[in-house]
Amino acid sequence: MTGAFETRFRIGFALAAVCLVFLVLVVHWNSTQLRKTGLMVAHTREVQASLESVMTVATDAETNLRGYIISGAETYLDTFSENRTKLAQILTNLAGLTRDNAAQQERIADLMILTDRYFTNSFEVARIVREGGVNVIRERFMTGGESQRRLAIVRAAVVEARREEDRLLQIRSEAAESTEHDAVTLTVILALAVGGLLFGGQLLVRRHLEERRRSEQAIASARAFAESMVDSVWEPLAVLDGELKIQRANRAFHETFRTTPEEIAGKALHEIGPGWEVFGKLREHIGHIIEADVPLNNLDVEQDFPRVGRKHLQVGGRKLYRPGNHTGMVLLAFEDRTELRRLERERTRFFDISHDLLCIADMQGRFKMLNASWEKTLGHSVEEMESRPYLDFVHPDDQVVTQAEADSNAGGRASITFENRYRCKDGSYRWLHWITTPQVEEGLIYGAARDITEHKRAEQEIERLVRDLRERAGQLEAVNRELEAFSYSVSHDLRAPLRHVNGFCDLLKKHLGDSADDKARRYMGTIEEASRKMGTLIDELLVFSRMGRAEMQQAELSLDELVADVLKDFSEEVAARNVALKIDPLPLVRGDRSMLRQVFVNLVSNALKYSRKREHACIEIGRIPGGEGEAVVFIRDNGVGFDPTYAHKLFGVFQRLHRAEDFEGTGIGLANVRRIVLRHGGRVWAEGRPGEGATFYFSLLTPGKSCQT
Amino acid sequence: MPNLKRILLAEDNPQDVELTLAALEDHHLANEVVVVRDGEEALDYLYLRGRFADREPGVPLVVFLDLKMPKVDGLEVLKAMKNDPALRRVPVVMLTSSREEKDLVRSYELGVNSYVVKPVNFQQFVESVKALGYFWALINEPAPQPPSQS
Repeated sequence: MTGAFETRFRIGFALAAVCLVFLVLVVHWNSTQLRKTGLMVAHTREVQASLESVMTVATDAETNLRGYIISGAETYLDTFSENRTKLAQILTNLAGLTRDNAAQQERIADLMILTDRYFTNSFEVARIVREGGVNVIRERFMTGGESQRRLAIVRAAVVEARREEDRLLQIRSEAAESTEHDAVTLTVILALAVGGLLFGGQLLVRRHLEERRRSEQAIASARAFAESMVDSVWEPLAVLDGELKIQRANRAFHETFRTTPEEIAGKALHEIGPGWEVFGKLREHIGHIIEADVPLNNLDVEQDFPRVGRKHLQVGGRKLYRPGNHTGMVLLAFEDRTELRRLERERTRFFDISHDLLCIADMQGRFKMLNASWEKTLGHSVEEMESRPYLDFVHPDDQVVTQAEADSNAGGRASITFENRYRCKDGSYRWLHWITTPQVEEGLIYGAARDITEHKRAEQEIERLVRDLRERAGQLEAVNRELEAFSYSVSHDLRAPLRHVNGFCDLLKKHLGDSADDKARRYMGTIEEASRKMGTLIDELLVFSRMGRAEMQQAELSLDELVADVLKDFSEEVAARNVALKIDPLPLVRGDRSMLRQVFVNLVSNALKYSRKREHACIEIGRIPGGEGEAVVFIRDNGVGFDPTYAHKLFGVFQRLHRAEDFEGTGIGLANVRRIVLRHGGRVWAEGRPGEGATFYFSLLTPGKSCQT
Repeated sequence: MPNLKRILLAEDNPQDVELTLAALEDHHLANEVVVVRDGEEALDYLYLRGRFADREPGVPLVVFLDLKMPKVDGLEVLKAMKNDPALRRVPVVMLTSSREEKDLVRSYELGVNSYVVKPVNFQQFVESVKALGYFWALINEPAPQPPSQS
């Protein structure tokens, strides 16, 4: 654009210059021509005037001659002579003037001859006159017209010469006119051309100026844009010269350091104020950047600045280029990493505070980063652990699974349950439980391992205990089975011989018949009674055993109904003995009906049995308030009671507080009651005094709660 | 079938055999009893095998089974009989010392016709056995037997 414009402008200028030169030349030539033509005309007019003078002088000479002739006065003749001289001069002059015109020269020469002849003749005439011959002359002269004729010849020659000159004048005037006309035309044309060129040039210049204005505007706006860009960069930027003097700093710079453009104007970076001296060390770098054109990368600066506190900066520098100009400037960028550093520190602190063993590992089997827990837990330094593949630290038995888990991690799968053992500095191993998150794109695995050695140990201990317990449970089960077999054989095998004792005793009695004496009969009676008693004992023992083993059929049941049902069994005895029964409303409970029935049967039969000797036996069944979710039932009698000293023996198997001859019994009934109540999750106890009756209490769970033991 | 005994008694204990026979004698049924000493013999008798291969064909009116016997116990004999259409209708009475509930349940599940616990008291025992013999061998009308095997 500019080049084209300049070329055009130059061409236009050259054209205008050429035109002007041409115009000047033309005007100059024209004026020269005009002057020449003017001179020629003037020359012609001079010639004409000279010719006119010839005629005038000639006429004057004639007049003088005639005067002499007439008057004879000699003065005329003197004048006449003067005329002659004058004419000769004129003619000579004319001859000079017409040197360029051969025809006129000729005519002038002729005229000289003619005039010469005329004067010669005239002097003859004058001589004649002086000698007296005036009459002759007069006659000749006047009558014959001699002098007139001579003069006419001269006149004719002059006229001819004049005519020639007139012609010349005519020609020259025309030529001059034509030249002038041409010159005017050319001048006008040239002036127009110059005017055109000037107009074009002015257009061109105006356009150029417009363009320049526009491009200046564009430049200004681009500059403003660039400036605003520089100012809107988040990073503080500063342009320094080789002496670290700040040439320019962007807005971020001032915002970061809370400076103003005025206060840093003309200052070097390390002279801004306290704290800034730290940048003095940039001096050596600056030289390097400018001279060797090597950028400065990541120069770490940590420094307290009075207005903004401690800052961690990462400084980068690069030489600034301006086309065609080696400015020797450096653009410095300050990356404010203070917050980043703070976060980094925070992260590191959290990282190190963790009890867990945190790590970042690469996919090639090495740790990239480990927290302090590692060293605390395993004893190896972090450097040591990072310098070798982590598999080196894994228990040989766990290496294969660890590798497999790492491969799975590398495939993007996280671990949540993986466990392996790591070797400690002292050669022992710790169990680690892993949670990992692989970042496949980053090629990293983030892991958190927890030392579960103690847990594992406890787990193993628990496992061992459970194993022991199972073993014992197995043993117990075996014992139980044995017991079952035992009770089965008690039930079956012990009863058989008893039956035989009893049976054969009876057969013996039959066999002896009347021959048996009293003693034999008493012995046989004792044998029968003993075997019968033993049979009862065995039966009750079997019931007791069954109560411990039988499966419970838990259900909600009404004790009112149950007691009423149980009392039916004893109705005969109750009626016969006139026993007073007092039955209070009883609660709903949860339990096995047949077992609880056994409880009431045993307790009611006990109450009846031990109140047998009372004339007015009284048995009361009721309830007392119990704990939450618990119903407490009691059965009271006014029988013989018991010595509370031995209350704890009441519920033991085969334990009796009364003699057999006083009250029959096997000592199993209350043991059974206790066993059943305990199996229902309840308690059982008794109160009593000798001779004051006894009260038996037991608790059961109310519906909503259940317990099975 | 004049020689066919009406009662089969399977009992391994000789004293029990003696007492049982003594009790049955009161109804003069002792001669109607075939005594076998274990379950295997009981089955031999029922299927005419072993030493009973040559016995008179036919089935007893009632079978008294002890529960616990050597080799094959009473429950197994019961099971075999109740699974055999030819023996299914023969009444079986368990005569045992066991009061165990599971034995009772098992016996009734297998289709026993009666379950009697031998009382320890001999008088009661005699009464029981007498009643059983009387009822099953004399009072009860036996089921018609399916067409005889053999």
